[in-house]
This record gives sequence, C-alpha cells and structure tokens, in this order.
Amino acid sequence: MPLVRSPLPPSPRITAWALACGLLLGGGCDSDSGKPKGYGLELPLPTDPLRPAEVRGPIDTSTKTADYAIEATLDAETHRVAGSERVTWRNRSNGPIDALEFHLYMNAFRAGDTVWMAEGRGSHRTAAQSDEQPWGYIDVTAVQRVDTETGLSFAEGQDPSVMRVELGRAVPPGGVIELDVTFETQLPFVFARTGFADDFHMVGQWYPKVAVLDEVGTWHNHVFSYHSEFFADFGDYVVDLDVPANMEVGASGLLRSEEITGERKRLRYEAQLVHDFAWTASERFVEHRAEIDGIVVRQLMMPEAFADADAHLEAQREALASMESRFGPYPWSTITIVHPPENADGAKGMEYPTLYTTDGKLTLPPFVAMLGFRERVSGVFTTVHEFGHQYFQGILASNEWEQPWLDEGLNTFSNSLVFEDWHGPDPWVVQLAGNSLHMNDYVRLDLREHAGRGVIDQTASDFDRIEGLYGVNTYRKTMAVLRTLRNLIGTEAFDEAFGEYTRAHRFGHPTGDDLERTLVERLGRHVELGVPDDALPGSASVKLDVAEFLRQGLHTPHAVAFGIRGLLNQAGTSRAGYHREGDELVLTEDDGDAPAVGTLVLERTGDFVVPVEVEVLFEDDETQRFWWDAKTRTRTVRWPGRRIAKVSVDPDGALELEVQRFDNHRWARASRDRDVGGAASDAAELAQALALAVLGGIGP
Amino acid sequence: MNALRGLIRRPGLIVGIWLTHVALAAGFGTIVERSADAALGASGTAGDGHALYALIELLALQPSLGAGALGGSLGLLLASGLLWLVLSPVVLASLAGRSATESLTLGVRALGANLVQTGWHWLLRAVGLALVMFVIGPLPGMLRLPVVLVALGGSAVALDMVRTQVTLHDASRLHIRSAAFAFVRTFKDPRLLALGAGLATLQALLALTTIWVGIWGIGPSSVVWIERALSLGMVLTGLWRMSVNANLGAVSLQQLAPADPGDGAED
Repeated sequence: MPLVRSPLPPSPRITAWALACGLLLGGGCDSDSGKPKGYGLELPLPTDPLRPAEVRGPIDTSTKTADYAIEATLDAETHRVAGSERVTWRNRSNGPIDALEFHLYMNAFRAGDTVWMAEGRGSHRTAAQSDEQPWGYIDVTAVQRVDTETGLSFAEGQDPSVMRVELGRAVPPGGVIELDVTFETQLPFVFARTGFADDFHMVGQWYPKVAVLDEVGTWHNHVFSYHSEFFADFGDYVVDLDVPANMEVGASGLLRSEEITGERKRLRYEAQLVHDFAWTASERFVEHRAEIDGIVVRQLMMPEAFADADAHLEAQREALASMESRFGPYPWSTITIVHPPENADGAKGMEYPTLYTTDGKLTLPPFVAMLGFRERVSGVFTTVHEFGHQYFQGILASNEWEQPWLDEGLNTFSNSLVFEDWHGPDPWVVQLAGNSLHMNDYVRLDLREHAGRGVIDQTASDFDRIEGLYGVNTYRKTMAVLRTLRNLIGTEAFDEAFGEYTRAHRFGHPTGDDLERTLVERLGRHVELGVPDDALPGSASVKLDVAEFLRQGLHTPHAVAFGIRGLLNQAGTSRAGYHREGDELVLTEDDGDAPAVGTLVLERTGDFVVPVEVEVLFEDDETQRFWWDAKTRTRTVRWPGRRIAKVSVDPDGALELEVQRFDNHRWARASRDRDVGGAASDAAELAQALALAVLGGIGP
Repeated sequence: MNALRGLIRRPGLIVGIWLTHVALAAGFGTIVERSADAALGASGTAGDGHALYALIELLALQPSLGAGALGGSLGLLLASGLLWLVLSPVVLASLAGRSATESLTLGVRALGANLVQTGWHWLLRAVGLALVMFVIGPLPGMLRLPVVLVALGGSAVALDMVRTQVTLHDASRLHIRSAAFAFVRTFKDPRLLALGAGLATLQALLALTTIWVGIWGIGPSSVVWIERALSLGMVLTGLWRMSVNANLGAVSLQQLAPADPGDGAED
C-alpha cells in the first residue's frame, strides 16, 4: 500500500473543512460548525482500559505505587486548569518515609531563571517562549492528609519544578498514605511539549506528581532541566475533565462517561498501570477512529491534515505488529494519536501513556517529485517513534533523566526494527531518481559529525546544549551500538536476548545495568564470530567480548574506524644471482617464475576495539573471508603465491558505528580498472549530466 | 513545416553544436573524475547498493570537489549564455537558408544590435514575469505551473524573434520597441506561442531528464550515452524553436492580427 498520499494544499480553514467534508470523509459535516464529523465513529470504545488478560498476558500489579483521582476544569479563554487530586501512595522502600517529594514540571516555564528556561534560553526545537504569551506555572495552594484531615506544610525546592511535602507522621514500609492536593495550572503557549495554541490545548505535565522513591529510600526527584524528560511510578488514574462542550477531547486511558450541561461537558477517563496522564482538547479536532487487534486507535486531527490519516494508521499498525512480536503484548485497549495544528510545532512528537502526538507528512513540490524524490519517513517515522515509547518508557519506565538513552536510544533502535519488519532488510528512507539512502546511511551521516565525541550513558543534565551531542548520542549512537552488536552476533540470538530484557522488566524501572547484564547473561560473555586469517585446523576462532563491547559503546566516546594501510602484490623472491656451491660461486639465471606475495596491512584507526571481518578478492576471482580481532593497531597478512585484486574491511557493513567507509575498500594497483562504477566515475557522470543539461537547456 | 525543413537541411550545424556540448561536458567530467580520484587515492567503493551514501561521503570528505563541480556548472551556464549571444545571429541566418559566408557576415554585422536587443529583452522579460507572478500568485501551484511555462516559453520565442528581425530584416537595431514588439507579436499569435512554448518546455524537460538520468545512473552501469542522446534532443528542440522564427520572414506591427497561415507559423 503506498505510503505517500496527497495531502491537501495549505488553504484557509473553511476551505479545507469543506474539502474534507466533500472529498475525504464522505460522512458529511456537522450542521452547526461545518466541521467534518469524522470517520469510524460508529466503532465502539472498549469497556476496559486494559486489553483482555489472555491477550495482554499476566501483569504484576504489585508495581503500582501511586494512584491519582483528579478533577480538572479548563478555562479555554485563559488557558488555565483549576484542579484537585487525591494521591494514594504506597511506601515500597525499606524504611519509614516522613516526607513526599513531588514534581511540578510546569513550573519550568514560570520564569526566565528556572533551570529549564536558563538552559534552553526559552526555546525548544524550533519554537520559543514569546513575551506576548503567558508564563506557564503550577501553583499548589493546599496539601492535606486525608487520614488526619490536617493541612501539611510544603515548599518548592531551589528550582520550582520540585516540591517537598512534610507528612508530620512517617509512612512505614509497606504503608499507604492519601493526600488531597489543590492546584492551579497556567498553560504556556506551546513551545516545549505542553501548552496551548489558539483553541488547541495539549495538557501534559500539568499536575503535582509524586517522584520515584527507590528501595533504599532515595528519592529520584530530578530538577526539570532542558534535556531531561520524565520519571514516575505506575498507578491507576481516574480523571474528571470539565471542558467547553464544543471541544473534542483525547486523553490517556479510556473514556468512561460524558455528560453535557449547557456549554460545558464533563468527561471521566480511566487509565490503569500508567505512570502519567495527559490530555488534549480543541474545537477543531476531527476524529479518525479505527481498530487494530481489538485496540481502538483514535486519531485527533486538524481537518486540513485528514488526508494523512491512513498513512499514520498504517505506520501505527506496522509498529504495533513489529513491537508486539518482539517485546511482548501492548497491554492497553486504546491508543490516541494527536495531530497538533501547524502553529503548535512545539507539541509535535511527544509521548504519554496510551497517547502521543505526531507530525504531518512532507508535501513535496511537483518539481522535486518530478526529479524522482521519494521519502518514507516524514510524519510516519514520528508515529512509529512515539508509539515505540509506549514500550520504552511506557512499559519499561526507565529514569529518563538519569539514563535518557534507555528510552530514546532503545526506542530508536526498535524503530529501525519496525522499518525492517515493514519494508524488508536494509530499508531505504529517501530515494532520489531511483538511488536510495538507507536507514543506516542516514544514521551514519548524522554520526559523522560527532564520531568519537561524547558518551551515551550520562544524565540528561550532563549533555551540554551548545555542544549538541544529546540527540546524536542518546538516539542515533545508541541505535548504532545495538545494531552493530546485533549484526555481529546474529539477529536471532540478539533479538532473543533483547526480548528477554523487555519481558523481564515490564512495568518496572529498568536501568542500563539491567540491560547490559541481561545481554551478557543471555548471549554469553564471549561470542564466536569466525576464523582468523591464520586459521589452522583446531585453532581458536575470533570472539567478541560482549561486556567489553557494551562498555566501549555505552561508556566511552571511542569511535569505530578501520582502514587499509597497505596493499601490495610483492614480486616473489628471485633465485637469480650467485650462490655458493662448495668452493664456487654459481650463477643462477632468473627463470621469472618467482611467485608473487599478496600482502595486506590492516589498520584500526579508531580507539574502539572490536573484531572486524575482512574479505579478500584474489586476481583469480576467488574470495576469502576472515576475522581480525583488532586488538593491535595493525595486522599484516601475507598470501605467498597469490595476487590480491581487492580488499574490503567489514564487507557487509555490520559495523554501523563506523561512519567513514571509504578507506574500507581498496583495489590493488593492477586491478584498479575493475573498479567500475566507483564514486569518482559516479561523480564524473553526474558532472557530465549537469553540464549537458546546462548547455542544452540554456543553449540554443 | 518550413522551420523543420530549414533545420533538417543543416545537419552539420546540429551535429557541430551537439559535439561541442558533448566535448565540453566530457572535459568537465574528466576534471571532476581526476579530482575525485586524487581525493580517494586507492580506495574503492563497497558496491553494496549504498552508492548515494558513497557519493555523499566523497563530497563530505572533499567539499571542494562539490564546490568545484557547482562552480564549473555555473561557469558553463555563463559561458553558454555568452556564447549563444554571439552565435545566435549566425545560427538564425543559417537556419533561414543563408549560406555559411553570408550567415557569418550577417552575424558579425548584427552583433551589436543583438547585444542591445538582448539587454532590452531581458529587462522586459523580468518585468513581465514579475507581473505574471504577481497576478497568478494566489493560484494553487498546479495552476501556476502551466502559466509560468507558457510565459517562459513565449519569452524564449520573443528573444528568437527580436534577434531574427534585427539580423535578417530591418527592425530598429537599438530601440526598445523591437524587443517589445517581439513580445507582443509572440503572445498575440496563439499558434506561434503554442509551438514555441511547447518546444521550450520540451527543451527544459529534456534538461531535467538529463539531470534525473545522471542521478539515476549512480552505480555500476554507465549512462553517459543516454545523457548524450538527451543532449542531442535538447539541441534539436532548441534549434527547431529558433528555426520557427528564422523562417517567419519579416514581421511588422500590421501583422498583430491572427497569423497568416503562409507566414510560417504553421510549424
């Protein structure tokens, strides 16, 4: 099924609505607003926030730590949410707890000198805080202990994105406490995930949320900084939303009830075994509803983007199929995909439990399309990626501040597997006149700039924004590390081991150590790769040290780089000349039969020590493959009596961490004329084409 | 079919221009290949279907190579424009059936007038196109495209016309009215406009196709002869468009009425 559909051209809202009504939906429009009614609305919503037990598999509910019952009223004019919540929290540590720590994420946008705003200078991705728009904040006005009905003292931390509540009386290990918290949240103009743009409201990180307490009683209540995302415990949510009646609403979990009173409506949502709750509301949303394997998928779209609905749904379907087969069943019964409007770029591409925001597909000018430009990443990759977070953060709820690579990197890696499952091995992402740029090419291009710089395993706050290494290390390099390991040891073994990690830590807070330990345990410390160049019967094969590979890949900035330092077919040693025979010197004529010696000098130019496969093509067209452990910087290999035509280091491109590939291939001098279609001749033909087009197009 | 006949009678002209293009392009390609070879040293390519990445890597390793290729192309563009400024009157005279000596003489004599009228033409073309873009600006892209193609194609015909009139006929050599009249005459004659714009559009499409083939051909198989065949198509199309005007005869303000079938516009 083709991925690229023709989106509507940019046009005034009413025109788009009319087109959507008439051409796309076929279901007519709402008579009052003229807005399209939507698609698939006859599909009933599920009855349970979780999928049936036989589908979702067993769930250990003992991980539930913090339950929330929230009431929230949206003032759509001031973009303010008045709320109250009852938090039920269980002490799962080994000691008594006399204070609870909370995240007040929205306070990151309260002033220019919060940690977040100071680091980001008020901007995020392509959007920025505007002087004409309100500051965002969350103001906690009261905290009360339910059992004693007493008000508790609370105070913000040094940064207002955290808060501490003194409990008065400690909660013993295994004990439960209930708190009532009253708050008011002012949404900012949406420039960093959450906020409003006109009537569109993306309400995320909007309520006081208890931080994570670990087993030994340490709070993980990080200050909200520029690169950090979120971390929370699992629990159940019951959320009552009071919004204007003309707004379409989407939220984490399942809609339980809807009651309209005059110009307001009240909706109750329930979500189970989630660690966050987000919601969205807009007058302009049109719903596209579908069902995949019993999961109801709601897409909330602006009418002008409605033509993209099928492409996103297909991406969602493929992502779900791939990830369920690899990482276990998706446990919830709903998925809500939010398509923010054009003026809300800051809200695009963000994940929340059972709900995520995506991005629109690229509209190509006809001229570009005529040149044969095709792509299959815009919009749909965001859908695949943000859905992937339902696993890598939604189910495997790692600490996104301490180890951001565990959600972004593992998710990006899993996205690459989705694309392989969807489009086949080595999928292309961009095509230009039939020439493909593959997914690993794309990652290599990104890594090129930063090879050998920065470490993957560091906290979000350790990444310097100006240095610009957060994205490349956390997302792409992590993906390249895992893909390289997978290529080296074999997809089946790796997928089994990685799958074990995802199954063992469902609804937990796995760490990087958990991942490394699982991989080493399941794969074995040393994995045999193949024979070395000097292999004799019974000799040891080259092995990969999995733990050492992960140490270098995740904890050092070492770059993978190989080259061919020398390639020579040396003339054989001649017997011509004088040799002593008894007392006499006897002259030997040159018979010209001295066999040549093919000589190759391999070089590891990067600091990353990893075995590499080498392929040698001899002049008689025979090939030989062997592995070099690369523990030394260079390795000289000789083939007496054989002449080498070409050498390829890592011929299959298994080392996706290696960004410079040119010096991996070399022809012997005598065989260079066999290098047909090399980059130099490609460049020459392209230059000729350009010249002929210029001369012929401008000429006569 | 006067125009096409006029063109077919001049195979030497066609082949000569085409071979010049081929030679210039081949020279340019050789320079690029030598530079790339020097940059790569003995390294080869993987031959694993990642040729586009290999090319991008080459340009990333040697950005001067890309800059040189782009600069060279722009240089060729400029050189081509200047060359045709000089050659056009000669070629137009030849397509009108004049002998080689006569064509050369006419071309040299009309060189100054051609320079002036080309200048006036580009001034009028810039103003006209700006006006057209202003008027069609609110239209969707797919509707704007044909209008722009007709405007550009018609302009090319108008340039041929003013050059023909000052070279072969007695149009005012220096006054702007000659260039303006050529525009009016071209855009008042639907058949001339359709043929000229059609040929100009075809020429542009062939140029785009040549670039497309160049990109498509990245990899093991050579496509240079396909590119050269397309180049021949561009030369033929361009000369045919010029031949239409060369065989139109003298045109005057009185001919602003629908074209007389006998005036050559039936091409």
